Amino acid sequence: MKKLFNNDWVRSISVLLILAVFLGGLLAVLSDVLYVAPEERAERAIKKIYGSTMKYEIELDIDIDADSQPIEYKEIGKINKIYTIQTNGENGYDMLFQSVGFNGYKGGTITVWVKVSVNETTSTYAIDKVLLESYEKQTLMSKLGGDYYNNFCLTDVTTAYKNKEFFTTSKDQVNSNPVSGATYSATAGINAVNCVIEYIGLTYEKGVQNG
Amino acid sequence: MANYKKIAVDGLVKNNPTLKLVLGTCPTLALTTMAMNGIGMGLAVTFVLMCSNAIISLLRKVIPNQVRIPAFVLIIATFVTIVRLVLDKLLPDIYESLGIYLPLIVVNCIILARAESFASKNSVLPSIADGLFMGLGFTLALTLMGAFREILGSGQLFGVKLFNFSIDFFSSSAGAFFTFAIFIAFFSYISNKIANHNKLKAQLKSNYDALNKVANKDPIKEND
Repeated sequence: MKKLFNNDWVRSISVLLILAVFLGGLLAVLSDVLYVAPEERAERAIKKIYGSTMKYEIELDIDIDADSQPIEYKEIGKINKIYTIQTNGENGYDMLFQSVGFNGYKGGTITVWVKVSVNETTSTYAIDKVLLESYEKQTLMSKLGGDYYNNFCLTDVTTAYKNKEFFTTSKDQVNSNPVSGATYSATAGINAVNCVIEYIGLTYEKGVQNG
Repeated sequence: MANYKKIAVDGLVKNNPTLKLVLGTCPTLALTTMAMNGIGMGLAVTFVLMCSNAIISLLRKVIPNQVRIPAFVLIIATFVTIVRLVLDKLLPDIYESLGIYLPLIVVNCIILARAESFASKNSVLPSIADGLFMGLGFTLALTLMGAFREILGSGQLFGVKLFNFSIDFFSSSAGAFFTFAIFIAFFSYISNKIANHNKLKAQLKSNYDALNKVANKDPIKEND
């Protein structure tokens, strides 16, 4: 046995195996202890937007509910999460969307949080805030800071949907939101917000049709 | 007895991993847009350096020479994963801002270089000290570069607005290379000055000693 362990091959493989098993075990224990649940991630996102924790209900969350599917708009993007937030306002509540926009620079995507305040008395939906969550392949998107996303604030989403006034990079359109410079593109970000407009517009139209 | 003072001076100044050895350039260029990123990345690397140096030093007689590199990478990757888990759980903002560069610490040259050149040849305590001071040297360089680029690139420091003036160039990739060059040039200038000063001091001392020796050997008689 001792002779066998003195062999370089056996000794090398044994040491590597023992290391892998021991370190793997350590990581298994730690990843269990330090696991961040999807609910905790949702609360973090809400805290980031509102500055404090809020009461919320989950309408859609593909991370928490494994059976649920994202709401896809093939051309432009998809919505992964929808939360209803109870605010202190008397006339309504807020809706929070996590939306992914496609067709960015080099085919990249941009994920944003879109906060929509709903006024039940006047039946209006307004985009209050848009916050960048993450992006892929579009390394310079981090240069588009908080002020840039204020350009997406919209007072009446349903009217914009009815008149087909989506956000666009073209300067001569109504809701244009172009980004100057050839090195980065806002297309994916615009598509992410347009997904939310599309969702609200379609849901509102269905609601009107059903009375 | 290890010379801890030498280890500290080596890590922080004489062999500063970023500005002297030019190691770990990828995170240095990519993450120094803000001073806070520099501190976050630097401390993460310091933790990995200290822990991996300790374990590698502890196992240096057990790990066969033929498989030392895969064994080192295995140990380093474990500590990098631990840092990721801890940051994601406790400091999610820093975890998000470091992004892809956090897992890339595994292939950071500084860590593998210190494991190979120091930890695998020295005992545990000096290896931990080496990891600590090399990590602090890296943190210092990244934080200073981050502060420089943040002030000039966005007119703020640690997220606090200082003035409305900003030069966008310093936030860009080209600005990162430019800043890195300025820092290396400045660091080399200062360290050369100090080295020349020390050399001159040593030369003067040796001349003085030689003169003393001659004077003692052939004393001038007062009567003469």
